Amino acid sequence: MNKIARSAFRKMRKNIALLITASLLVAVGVGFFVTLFTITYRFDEAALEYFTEYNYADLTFYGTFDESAVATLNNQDAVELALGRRVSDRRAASGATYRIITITSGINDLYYLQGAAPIGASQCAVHANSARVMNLSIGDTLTADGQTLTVTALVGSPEYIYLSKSERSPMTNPKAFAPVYVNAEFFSDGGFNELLALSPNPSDVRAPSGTVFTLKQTEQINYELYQEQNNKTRTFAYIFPGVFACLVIMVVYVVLRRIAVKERMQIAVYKSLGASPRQILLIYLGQFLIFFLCAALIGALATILVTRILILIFSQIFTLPLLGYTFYPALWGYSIIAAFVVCLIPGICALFGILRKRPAEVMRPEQRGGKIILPQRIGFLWKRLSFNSRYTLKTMLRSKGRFFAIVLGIAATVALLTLSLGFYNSIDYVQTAYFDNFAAYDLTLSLGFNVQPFSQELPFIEEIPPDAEYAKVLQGRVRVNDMVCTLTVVEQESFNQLKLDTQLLSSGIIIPSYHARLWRVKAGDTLRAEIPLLGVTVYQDLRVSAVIDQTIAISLFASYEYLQALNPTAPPELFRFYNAVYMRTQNTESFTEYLNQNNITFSTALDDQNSFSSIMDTVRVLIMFMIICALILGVAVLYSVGLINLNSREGEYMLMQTLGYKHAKIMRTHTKETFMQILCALPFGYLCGWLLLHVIRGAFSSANFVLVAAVYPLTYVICAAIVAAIAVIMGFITARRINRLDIVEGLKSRD
Amino acid sequence: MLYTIEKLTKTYGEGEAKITALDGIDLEIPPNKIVAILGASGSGKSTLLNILGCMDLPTAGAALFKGEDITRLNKKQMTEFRRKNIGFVFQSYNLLPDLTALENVEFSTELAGISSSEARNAMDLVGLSERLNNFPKQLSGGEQQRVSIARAIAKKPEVLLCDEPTGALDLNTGIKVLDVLVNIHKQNGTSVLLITHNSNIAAIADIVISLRSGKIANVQQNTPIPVSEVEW
Repeated sequence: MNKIARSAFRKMRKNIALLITASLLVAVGVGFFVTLFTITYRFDEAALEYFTEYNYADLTFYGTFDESAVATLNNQDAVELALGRRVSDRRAASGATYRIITITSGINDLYYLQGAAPIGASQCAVHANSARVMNLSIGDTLTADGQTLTVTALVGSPEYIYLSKSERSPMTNPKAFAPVYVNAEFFSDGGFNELLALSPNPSDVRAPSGTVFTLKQTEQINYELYQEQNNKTRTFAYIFPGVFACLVIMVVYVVLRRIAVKERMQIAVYKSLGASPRQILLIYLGQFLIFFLCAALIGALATILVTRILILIFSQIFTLPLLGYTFYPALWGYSIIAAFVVCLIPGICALFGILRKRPAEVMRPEQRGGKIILPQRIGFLWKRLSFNSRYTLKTMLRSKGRFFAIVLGIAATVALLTLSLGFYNSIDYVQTAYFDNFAAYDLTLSLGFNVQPFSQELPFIEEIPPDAEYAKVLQGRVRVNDMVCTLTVVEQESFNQLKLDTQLLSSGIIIPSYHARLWRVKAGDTLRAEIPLLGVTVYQDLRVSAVIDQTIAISLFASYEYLQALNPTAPPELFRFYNAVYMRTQNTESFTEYLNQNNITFSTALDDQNSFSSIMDTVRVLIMFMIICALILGVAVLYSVGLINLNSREGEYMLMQTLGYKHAKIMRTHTKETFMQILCALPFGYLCGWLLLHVIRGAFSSANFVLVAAVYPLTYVICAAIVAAIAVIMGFITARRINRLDIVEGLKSRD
Repeated sequence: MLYTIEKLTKTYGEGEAKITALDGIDLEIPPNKIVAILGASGSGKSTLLNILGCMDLPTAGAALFKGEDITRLNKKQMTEFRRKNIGFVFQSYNLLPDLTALENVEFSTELAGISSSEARNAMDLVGLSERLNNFPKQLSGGEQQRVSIARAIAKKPEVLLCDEPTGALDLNTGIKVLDVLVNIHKQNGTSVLLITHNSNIAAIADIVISLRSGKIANVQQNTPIPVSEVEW
């Protein structure tokens, strides 16, 4: 080994603690990046493979169809294959909803995880995720619609990666919802309510008669959720490693600047012996490069385990059988390159000044004059401070670069903690905003595509609890600006099951702020909507009367009266249909029992809350991952900050000891300095965390869910407490080191 | 001539804080001699040595090494020049603390592209072949300075530039160090430029150049006395 490499290795020993700390940041940053990107890439590949190999329908037509509609569809050139099926929701005695679906061979094929395909009318296959939670295994039976079905297989399906029950329940708790696959014989009556089609050009396919609404594969909630999932993971994959990289840059820069000052004479000697700047750079950066390379490799290796664990956790939340760990050499390569870059850039910046000087200039001692600091100018305040406090302030502000870097490090920890905990707050806020401040219903009933004339009263009117207040609404999917979204049509005067200013509905529609931003519209603008009404698609210009903040169960709202007013010549009955009921009642229990028995699809406010919680499960996993990383970061940063502080003050502390300063007093100086740095870092960290939360809010907002950035006051307190706790622990370590300072040796080495 | 110096000027700082370290000096230094540069603190002797060693650039004037103006070299060429032609011996030894005595010397030979056996030979020459694997902190001041000399001579430079090499040593140790320098000069014919503020030490040189306030006060051809007779 040549002497330059040997020098680099020997220097490692001196900076071992800081090197380990910075390497920890590199390892965690690389681990985070590689883990989340491995999941993102693999999730994307696995989902697309699943969609292709298991023939995820390119088009789904909803309505009432017979065999001739299937034949008509199959005859179209743009259609490769079309199949009809029945889909029907049934309530189990447990309260769970079984979605009974006809098995279609060739489209939306089942992935058999266990067991064999059902035979005849009395066997079924159950979605594996629901079966696991409902404790259903092969050979068990379940009762649906009075018929007993024996489970012969546990399956997955490309259309149910997520258990999407409806627009309002995009990710239903598997305990409450299970897709159950049966043979066509299960349904005694003929006909279909869904047609599935495979087509290379879905836009060229004409909807068969009887179609109420058509959804392309990319418009299905299941597909949207898959894309959202990847966006969320990808956003996290950038943010944390980004912050970690900034901190590593800061640590490397500060440490090397410090070394450059401390080893000024050595650098001059290297130069005088004829070492080139590149060789000197290698001596000082070599130690970081070696450590960071090892750290990047360890971080990347750790992802093999961490990725598998995360996939295991995710598999409880969604079902994607082809998802497994895959090694992506490019990701490892990028990470190692990034580790080098975060070492080289700050290293070159820190040493550039000294390396460009001539040896004689480097050898000449630097004249470091004292400076009047700002607090000194405030005479009355300065006089009141103890010598100890004055010394602390002076030493702290003497090196502004180092001070700023340390504050930045602590601020980054605070920022990531604020971001992570703020995320929890935001989710809670979203839930509160919807269920406490917007939703005023206890129960919703859905008739699906079975729309009823408004004049026709509910068939179970007798069973409705006496205290119930209910409103009939028409709820369906419409296409606005080429985007599929939910439209809820309500009666302007009587609807009060959502806290909505229904008066505004007389002059237009109310739209969510998410869509307003997306479509760049405001109150007073108009939107072109494609509304399917009784099998006829109506193209209508709708005026936006108001924009409101909605977080979940996002819908556009219109009134029957407004739609009717837009079409004065059309018969009023055309707009007076309903397919859902919003109800307020204290007596949900007995009524839901009745609804269960009669297979009427309903959802309680609690069901909706559970569904929302399920959506957030994946995010919670990521948040936990974030919090752990933020804590590691906090410990690493505060430890390195403490060491940098101590290294730069060591000589002075030894001199103070020589002058008779007690250990406790020196420790007090050190503590005061750390305390002031934390104090300066806290507001900056809070602000950065809050800004980061706002930045990533976009990636977490979709047509199904809008994240509102909210950080509760308690979060700020917790962040400060965590940083303070870490600082206290680090304080003990520092105290031990101060206690062990060898005055004589220290002063000798300074000479 | 080894060095030809023409109107060499070096100033530091600006305005009222301007200090003239060298004030337009002209000088010729012949090869294969021990040359002592004698002067009080602040007389400009270290500045002159730095410029001759390509460690610094003058503000004006020229310094020719074997006819080549070294003040016109760029940084890379200056590094190359130091690597090949100059051996430095500093007052405070300036050994690299992370390397052993032998490694310190090898560092220099490696940079110059010379076989590492020269490093061992140099250590033999300064009488430290028993302390090869000791780190600088395990050596006495005199031993450290001898390692420093070994480091300077191992690459067989044209000239040894010694900045107060005995400044931090006691008499006996200092004499040992001077002895080593004189022996090397005799054995290898290496030119030695020795900075000192002590006229007794300057007495071992063939030529004594006296500097005062950045100017040449006197250049004196000398009959060197044996090192053993030096006292301070």
